[in-house]
Amino acid sequence: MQDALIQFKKVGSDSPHYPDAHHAVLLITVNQLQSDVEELEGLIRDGQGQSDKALKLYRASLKRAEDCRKTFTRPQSPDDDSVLESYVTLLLARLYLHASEPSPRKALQQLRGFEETFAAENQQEVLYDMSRKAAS
Amino acid sequence: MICHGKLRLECYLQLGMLKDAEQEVAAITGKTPVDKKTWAFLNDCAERYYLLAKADQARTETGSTTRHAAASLAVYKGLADIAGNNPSYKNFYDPIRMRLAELYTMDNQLPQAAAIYQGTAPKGTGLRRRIVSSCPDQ
Repeated sequence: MQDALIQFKKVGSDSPHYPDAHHAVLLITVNQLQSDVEELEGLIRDGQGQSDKALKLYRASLKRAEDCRKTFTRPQSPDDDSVLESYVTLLLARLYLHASEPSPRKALQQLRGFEETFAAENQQEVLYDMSRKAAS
Repeated sequence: MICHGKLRLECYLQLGMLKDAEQEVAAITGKTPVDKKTWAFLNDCAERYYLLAKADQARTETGSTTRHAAASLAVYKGLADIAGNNPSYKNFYDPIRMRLAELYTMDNQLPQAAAIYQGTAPKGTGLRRRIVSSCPDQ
């Protein structure tokens, strides 16, 4: 997956394949992010929220999530990216909220107006995917 | 499953924004029959703050527990409404009412606690209905 990520990142913005490559990069990044957030939440549940592993994972995930969040262009992301954007928004909120030292105010900032920002059908897609991943 | 609503509820509880928390509980449970995952999530939230309130009580000389007790109350009130109105959860109604009475006591709302212990409080608080009807866009 990392090899694919490297290859997709090589596609220049002037290429006709850029939108697809950009979307693929986001998809791989978000997938990895979801795994990391779930691993981190597991460590916190097990009382290891202050361990070196958890702190490293938290810092790396938070940076990746915040960087990823910035790549979405508002007001109008392409539909496919909008789904990923809502996905990242939820993951970022989870990181803020489920850290060993939570920042509920920052999480709330992400979640306010979520329904208005993301169309209902996109939310359903995101939530279905998130729950499917959580169950697997 | 309303992920963002559940996360928002956690934010409100952590920030002590209890009116918003009650509205979020109503929004989470208001539109469809409450599924088991949502019930478990809300129960877990309420229980977590109840345990924090108990820990506060054990720690402080005055037994002051208001903040966490009030947060737990906000969620248990919603659960009591659901259990009082939904046959699937009716077995939880009495235990939740007893938990509510204990929390009212911890939160220094003694008349409410007494009403439950004496069995005079009406079944269901109607809170969910009131909140949902006051929020037309939820």
